Amino acid sequence: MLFNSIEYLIFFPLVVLIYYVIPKKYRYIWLLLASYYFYMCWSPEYAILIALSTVITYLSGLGLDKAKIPGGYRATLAKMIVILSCVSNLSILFFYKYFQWMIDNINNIFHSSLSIPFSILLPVGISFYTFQALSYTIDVYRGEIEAEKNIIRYALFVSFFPQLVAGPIERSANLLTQIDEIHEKRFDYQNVRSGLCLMIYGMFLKLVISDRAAIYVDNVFDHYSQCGFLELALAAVMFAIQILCDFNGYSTIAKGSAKVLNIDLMDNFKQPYLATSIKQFWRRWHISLTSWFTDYLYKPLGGSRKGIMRKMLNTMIVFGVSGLWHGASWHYVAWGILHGIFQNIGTVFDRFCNKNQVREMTILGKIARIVITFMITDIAWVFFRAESCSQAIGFFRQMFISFREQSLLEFGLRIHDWVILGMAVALLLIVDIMHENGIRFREKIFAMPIYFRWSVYMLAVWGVLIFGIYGVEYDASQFIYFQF
Amino acid sequence: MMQVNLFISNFRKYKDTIIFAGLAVLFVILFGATNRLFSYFAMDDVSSYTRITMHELYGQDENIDILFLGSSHCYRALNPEITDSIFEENTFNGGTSAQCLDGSYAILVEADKKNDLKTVYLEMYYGVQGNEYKKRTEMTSTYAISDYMRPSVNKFCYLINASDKEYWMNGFMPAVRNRNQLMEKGYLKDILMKKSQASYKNYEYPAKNNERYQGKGYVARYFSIENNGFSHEGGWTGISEQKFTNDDIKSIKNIIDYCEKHQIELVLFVSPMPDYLLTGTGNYDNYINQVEKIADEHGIKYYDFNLLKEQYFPNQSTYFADTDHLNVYGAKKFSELFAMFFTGKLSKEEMFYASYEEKMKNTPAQVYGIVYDIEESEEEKEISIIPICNKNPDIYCTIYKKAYNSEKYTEIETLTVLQNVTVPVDEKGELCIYFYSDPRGENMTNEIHINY
Repeated sequence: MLFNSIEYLIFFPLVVLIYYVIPKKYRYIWLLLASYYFYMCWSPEYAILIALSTVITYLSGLGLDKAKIPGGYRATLAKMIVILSCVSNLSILFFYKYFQWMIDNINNIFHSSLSIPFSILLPVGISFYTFQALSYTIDVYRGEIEAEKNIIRYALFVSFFPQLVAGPIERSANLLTQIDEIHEKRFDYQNVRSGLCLMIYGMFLKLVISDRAAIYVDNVFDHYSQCGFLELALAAVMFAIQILCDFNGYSTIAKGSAKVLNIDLMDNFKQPYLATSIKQFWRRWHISLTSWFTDYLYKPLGGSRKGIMRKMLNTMIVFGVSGLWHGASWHYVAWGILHGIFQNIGTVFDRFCNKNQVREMTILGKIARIVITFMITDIAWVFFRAESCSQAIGFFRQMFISFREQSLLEFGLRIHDWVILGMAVALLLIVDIMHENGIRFREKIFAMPIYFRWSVYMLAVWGVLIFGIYGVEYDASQFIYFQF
Repeated sequence: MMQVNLFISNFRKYKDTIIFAGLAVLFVILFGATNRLFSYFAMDDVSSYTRITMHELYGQDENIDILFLGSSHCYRALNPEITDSIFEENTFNGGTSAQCLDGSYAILVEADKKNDLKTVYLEMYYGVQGNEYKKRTEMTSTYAISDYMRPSVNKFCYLINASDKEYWMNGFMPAVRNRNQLMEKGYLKDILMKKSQASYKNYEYPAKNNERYQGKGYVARYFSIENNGFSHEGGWTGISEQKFTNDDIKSIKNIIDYCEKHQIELVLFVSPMPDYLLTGTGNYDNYINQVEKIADEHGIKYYDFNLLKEQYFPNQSTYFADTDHLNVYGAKKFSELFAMFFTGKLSKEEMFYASYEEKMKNTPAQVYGIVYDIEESEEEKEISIIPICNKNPDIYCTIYKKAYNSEKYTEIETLTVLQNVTVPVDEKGELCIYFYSDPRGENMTNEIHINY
């Protein structure tokens, strides 16, 4: 069930209505049922995998609780439990996501013809809920949270439908705590209003900007060998916008949906294209994944505590794994490694700047850094979007050997689409700049007189309905991050 | 006092919920109003018959006694001005373009809300069968009705059941369906200009070539097929290959049940079509048997006016405006006949053949028209011509051609057996085909013009 589908338009209000009507003590049971139904709309059989992951990590939490002794754990037992939990969860992830890829690579390297006698379909959202469940086990082990005793509450934490298939990857300290308090929460008009506004904004990002940009991007990437510099460069920029609005759109709808249910999910994006360095970009882009890797991989590897060389190596490892997390393909790994390289160059550059005590940035300097950072991330995005590393390299090669210009109208977008896209991106930029300066766009609207406020609500809804790319006239696209 | 306090404390407790519920209702109302507003701009319905038909249906001062339902085979065939006077009751034609059985049901329910219907005549042209509602991709005929239905449970159910869920938004929100049109340059200005005209506001149908809306749902066409000049490019789907689907049957049952429940007499009928079409498309008796079976199962009457004897309705091309539909002259003739038959002034046994096969047996051999195909190769276009006839009449044919850039016709075949014609691939023009029943070319039976 997609957020931008008619099913969700029916499903969500029903879930909310029943959620607030039934006795509060049953709310978490209702949400669990709704979440499993939501997931089973894609692949009923794969709900077993979520259940399996839930049971493993739940039992590991209980096991860790039993292994507690005053002042700590029985070390061997606790470690065994954590390792067992991680290995079993990651094995499931590996089997469904990477096994076929590994076989293909072995065949390529050794010219063999190994094959799997059955087909493996990637379960939607497996990378997200596996990481979320793993973080629980590790957090319990680290003593950051208590083990959850109620399996239904815990199952809801793993499968909470707004963030189940594409994040944000929540931490138990945030989400599980709120689920534990769900029976105490009252209907909160402000939260419902905020949540609905977030959902509309998310839809705007996804349907008006991302899916419109996708038409151009897909056309250019599918025929890149026939394009010139301008079309290709524009396609790269447009993909950067597309993926931001796609993933941020999903996260915003997820956050909005949860907020209507009186649950606050973490922010997953914070104006990433206004970052002045790659390091900053990663503090603003897919924040939940970055912080997961920081807490559960980068820091255990030693982080920045073991010297600059080790820090740079750790960075490369983390970004390589991050690339692989996104997909079982070398072009994702290349994308991750590129970011690792950029990050390390940034680290060296920062050290150089600190040594030479470079003055604080001027506005122009800041803008220049924002533009440069955007261009660097955009180079990496080409590897992300391409279907293979060779396609990405071919894309760049074509960029510098062909300067023929074609009409922008030859790539699926008509004049009015370009106008709408331009205006929508301008609006996105204004909202992002406002947020960057601490001005909450939503709060501003809420503070307006009712007639103005309601006009904005109506315009927003109709803006998405009229200018959105959806429905039978278009080939409705899924959210990009669903495939991860 | 205690009760007041209890009320106040409950109100405080549920204040947020009550405010939200009120605002949600307000939002729905505002959304509905803006939906209507945007739909007004987004719908170019200046040339819509159904808009006027539905407006008249809702606005009838006099009770509608008799309702005709069906596709264009209904609204082009029955003129209420004529049927009113013969039935001596108020009749109304609720036919709409390509109306399927679920559409007929929706209009029936709408019509019955304000009227005490006595009889419903449901036109069952063979195009009503073969629908699988959830697989529909062409929804124009559904929206032609739903766009002008007043908000009601009936409308809601009609749209929900008419298609897969992917189409629901398009049905309920015409502005969403036509949103791309809204963004076209000059569209808004053009539509506002058209809709500001008095004729639109007064629900008058704009004068069109050969076509006129004549009131109470009837649309007349002032155009005739002369000299059996029927032609059609490509093949047809054979009638004998089609079947009523479960969806069709369900809708028929809905109509039957509704009529039974509301004590409305239901009669199934099929209006006359050219023998050219019925002979060309296949075994028409197969279709008749299918409808008869349904009618018999439910104890309702069914009359197929394609089985009329020559003396009651001569199947001549001049009664038709195209390969399917009656023109104004055919509709006049048929409306009179229809009303006289159902008022008991004519008898079934005298008027009808028992089957289409029997009708054909009793009809002299003749050519009704042709079907043709154009196949292009690198150098030439080959036009294959197949005559549509009831038996095997003698055919002698003369063919002329006239390229668009030339001024006169050139004779390319003279009084010979029919054969394929070839023309240069880049040439565009018109073929004029004459059929004769004798080798001397004295008795011309058909004059057919086709473009290549």
